[in-house]
Amino acid sequence: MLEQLSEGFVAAFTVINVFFIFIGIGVGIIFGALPGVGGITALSLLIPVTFYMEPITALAFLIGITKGSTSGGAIPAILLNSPGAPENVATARDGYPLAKQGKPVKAMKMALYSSVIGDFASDLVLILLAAPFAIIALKFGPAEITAIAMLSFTLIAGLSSQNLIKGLLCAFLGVFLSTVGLDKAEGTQRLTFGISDLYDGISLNAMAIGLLALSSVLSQLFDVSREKSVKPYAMGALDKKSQNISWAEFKPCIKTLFRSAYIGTFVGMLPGLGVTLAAFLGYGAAKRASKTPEEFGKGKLEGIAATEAANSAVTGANLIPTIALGIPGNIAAALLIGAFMIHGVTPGPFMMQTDGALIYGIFASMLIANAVHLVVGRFGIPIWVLAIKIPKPVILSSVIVLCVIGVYVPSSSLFEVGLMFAFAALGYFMRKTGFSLVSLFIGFLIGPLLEHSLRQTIILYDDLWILFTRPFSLPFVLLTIFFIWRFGFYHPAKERAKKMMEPDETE
Amino acid sequence: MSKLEKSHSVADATLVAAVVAVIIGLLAIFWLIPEFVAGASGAFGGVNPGFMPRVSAWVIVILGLLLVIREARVLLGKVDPAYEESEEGEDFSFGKKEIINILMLAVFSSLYIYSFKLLGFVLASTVFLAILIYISGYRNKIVLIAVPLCLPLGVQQLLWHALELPLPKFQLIIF
Repeated sequence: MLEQLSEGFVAAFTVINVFFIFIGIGVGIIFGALPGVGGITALSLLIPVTFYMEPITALAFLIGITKGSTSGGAIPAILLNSPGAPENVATARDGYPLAKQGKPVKAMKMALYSSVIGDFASDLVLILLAAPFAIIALKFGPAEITAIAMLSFTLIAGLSSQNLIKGLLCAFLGVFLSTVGLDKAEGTQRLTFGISDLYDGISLNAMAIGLLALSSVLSQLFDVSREKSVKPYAMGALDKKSQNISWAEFKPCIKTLFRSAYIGTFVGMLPGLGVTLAAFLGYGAAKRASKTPEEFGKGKLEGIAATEAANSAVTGANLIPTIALGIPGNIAAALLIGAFMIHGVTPGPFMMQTDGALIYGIFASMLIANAVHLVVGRFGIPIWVLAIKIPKPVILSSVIVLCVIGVYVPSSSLFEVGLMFAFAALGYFMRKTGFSLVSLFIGFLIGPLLEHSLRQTIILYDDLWILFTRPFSLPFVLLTIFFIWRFGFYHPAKERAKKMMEPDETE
Repeated sequence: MSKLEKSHSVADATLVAAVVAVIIGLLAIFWLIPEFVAGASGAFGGVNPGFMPRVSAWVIVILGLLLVIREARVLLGKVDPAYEESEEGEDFSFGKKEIINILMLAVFSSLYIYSFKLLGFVLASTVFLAILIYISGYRNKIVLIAVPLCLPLGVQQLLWHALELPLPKFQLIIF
């Protein structure tokens, strides 16, 4: 492994690669910091730009964006008390009070250092575990892959949506949409209606940008005229000395950083659990373990460290199921799978065998990106502060134009631009009614994998009873049944019982 | 809107979505797949090109029916609506305002795509960006002129000079 990693460093440590990592981190931080935009929008918009890059550079660039955007979301949390993303909500609890005490730069530095440490820890775990996981996954046959796909759907539907039925409905709608195009086994047309733009299936790009980025932007744009504008903390003349973090201030946070990095890594390895959960678990654990829990929420550096280390630690660990099984753990990983496929790499257990050099190149790029993140994040603070002053209507309107470019440029097809707007409308409806966009997108992405493995299972074994009799697939099937019971029956019954004990709501 | 009213409006919209999902599922099973999936009725142990579309359509129908039953019980008052919270801080409610927003999106996007073809990227985007910023409530005149003028032109020039990617042009004005 060390030898492969060192070869990866040789491949990754080129001028072009490092340059694009710098750009990716910078763009990621800006998009993460801009209110209403975020890392998912950045990824969706910029994946098409990577069409013209080498695979290693493209993936290093996109990973830079993911890393940058997670820490970028802390900036508006600290300066505006308005988190860039849900995973930064807990950062605002201590970041904003610290900013009001005249130490905004100190808070931003702590957020940055914690992000980098969490990221680094998670990347190390990824490098250590990806290959062994992939070796185990190689023993999986079509029955096991089918069982894992079903478990992933259930977990993601149950965790990303508060109603399991809605989540599974969205996942299978995604699977249905993934069948549009030419059948891979027989080459016949399916649901193309004679439209040549659909022969290759529904464009992943149009769906990702429309569903994930544009629907979010439109949802905010429709509401923005009713929002009061939030005034950022006025930076003005700050006492430079108080903006530094001394060793005496950093030392008590070390335990917290490691605890949060561990929590984030564990959460990241399991599909569907989400970055926000990691952030809150990290914050909660730090508060419970602290000797002075009453200081949390009043500008405690440990509070910022706990959240940012945990939410950043999800990124690397999330790639473990992505690389080993080809199953994304969250939306960012799903988009990265899309990027892998665009560059001719099929995520899954065979990836380590067929594209091992590329994978270790990506691992090396991730480690390089952590160092770059530290430099760019630290010296770019004045730029990020300027970025969040741009009025929200201007940002959101501009992003819509960028979305159109992002879809039109790779395909030169106005049909795909229309498809993007259609998915944006669907995404808006889903956002307003609690249907899970994540489930739909992941259903679309792993639908072909599910179809392939399910068809093979039936052809090889004649029926699906084999899922219960093969030793590797049975645990996944039992887990699926357990989570269906847990999310579909146990949680709703618990919620109803809790509600019966609450007083009646009056307006 | 109170929590309860919002939950009921979401339940209404979910019921409609579930009914639509059931209808689309049934349409897919009995018309779309037999008509538009080549080889869907071919025999190969039942595992033909129509297999996965049928499986997913049937799952959609079954889950849609379960959702219809559940939301109908909520609306009939037999079960309390589940108060759902969005992870992204979205406000769950679906009423006239949201329907109007979707209709506006349909109209504006159609006009934008049509004018994109007719007027080219720069002109179409300049006009739409200005309209979007204006109707979202931001009225600073300098920004209203500068951003719509500079952003589309800047992007077009960057794509051409950096990546040699052309965007549709308005034939009467060459940038």
